[in-house]
Amino acid sequence: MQIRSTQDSDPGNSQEQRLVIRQPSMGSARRWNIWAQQAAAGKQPCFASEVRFNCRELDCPWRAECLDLRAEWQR
Amino acid sequence: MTFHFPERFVSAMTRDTLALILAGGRGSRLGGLTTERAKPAVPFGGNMRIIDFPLSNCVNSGVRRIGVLTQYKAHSLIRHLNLGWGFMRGELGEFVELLPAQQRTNGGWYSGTADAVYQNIDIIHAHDPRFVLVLGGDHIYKMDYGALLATHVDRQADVTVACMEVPLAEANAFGVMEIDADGRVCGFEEKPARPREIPTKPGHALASMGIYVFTADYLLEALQRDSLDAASEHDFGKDILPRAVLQDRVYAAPFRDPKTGARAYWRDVGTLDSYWSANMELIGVVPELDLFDTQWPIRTHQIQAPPAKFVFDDEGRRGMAVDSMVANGCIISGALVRHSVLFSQVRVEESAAVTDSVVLPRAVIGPNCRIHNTVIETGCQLARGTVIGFNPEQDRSRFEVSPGGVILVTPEMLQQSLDYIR
Repeated sequence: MQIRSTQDSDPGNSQEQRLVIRQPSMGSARRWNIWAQQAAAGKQPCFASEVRFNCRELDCPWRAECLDLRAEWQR
Repeated sequence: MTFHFPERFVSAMTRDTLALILAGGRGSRLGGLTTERAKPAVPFGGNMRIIDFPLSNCVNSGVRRIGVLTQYKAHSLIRHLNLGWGFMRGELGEFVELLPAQQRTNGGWYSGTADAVYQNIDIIHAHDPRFVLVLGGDHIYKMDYGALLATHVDRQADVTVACMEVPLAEANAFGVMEIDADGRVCGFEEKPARPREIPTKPGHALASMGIYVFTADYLLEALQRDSLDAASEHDFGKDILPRAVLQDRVYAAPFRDPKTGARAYWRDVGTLDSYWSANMELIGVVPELDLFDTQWPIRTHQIQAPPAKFVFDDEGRRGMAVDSMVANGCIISGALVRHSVLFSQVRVEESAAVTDSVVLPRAVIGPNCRIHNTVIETGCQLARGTVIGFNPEQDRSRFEVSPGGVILVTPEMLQQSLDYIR
């Protein structure tokens, strides 16, 4: 699912709005899923972790989301 | 000095950081909005005050040791901090501490930004931070200071300055930097008459945002040295940084949207025009500064009040607000509010119309008033039939009018006595 905030959503598309509200962009399930994928690929499960600001892996598929502005206590 | 990156990299840095928010300034360009309060205490965005932004940025970044340096008319600021920012747990090493000018090192007030920090040098020592994050208390932005600290550690810097590209015409209001290909600052001039262009981006200059990370030992030494310099104005931009650039490792950290790499939102609401337009921007459908963003919440103290109420639904007597932000405790009674920001407990009475305006808490817009393009200060009571914003000459004779045509109305201009805290 494309990650969109409720503000960005088409106001007429109430089904999508409900979906967005129920499925936040970074729930614990999503984090664990990404970590599992990283581990399966033989990488450090580093997504949204402490080392993010020094990450040099520019082609990481989760880079934008990992570096997204998110309060430390929500990571 | 050697640095290494432990496994717990970000939290180790933020935990060892002391943030100092410089909140003592008056902000005189805001005119009547700062006659009774310091600029960081000026209300913003419907229910916040400007200082909530750097404070929220600290907490959201994991920086939980914060000192707020106060001086000019600090009462409403102190009250706001007491009511809204007292949730830190001292026993866990967290705090928001007030640091008023209290003559700790000499008999004077804070005489400059560097002097303000210097006068608290014993307190900084006592907290024993590894890094000191110096912030202005008067800008609107959302920033993860963890990224800034990471740049500082990565570059093994003595000082790291957050910066952004600004049009050359606006650059003389800032500290302007020159950097080399590695991001090291090789020139710094505070508010230059002729700012230097970025070679790769003609028409733009690299401006300091007044946000600095210092390695703590370095800062303390620099402040001691500066305090002994009779020729110094004891100012970070005028004295500490130009000297540091010549002798030490000063790096620039561009402030960009971490996702897109584009220039991030940052506003200096230092004039009535910029204050009004920054508030107006918030009303947009998808504003650049999204206060509804739950990932990076801006915390504040809000008065306990019921939800906003809109009463009467008769033809010609309909209480409504459209394209607006209306805070709690407001009552719109048979009146129209359009494209405006109303702070808490504002009353708009029968047949009044408020458009393109910012109305601060507890103001009362009387019946049949017409208000346009105006900032109404806290507690103003506009008498029945008052018209503001339609006749520039008349407005100038009674109120403050900005170069951009925004009108400011304060209780003093209405000869109303002050019996509350702003």
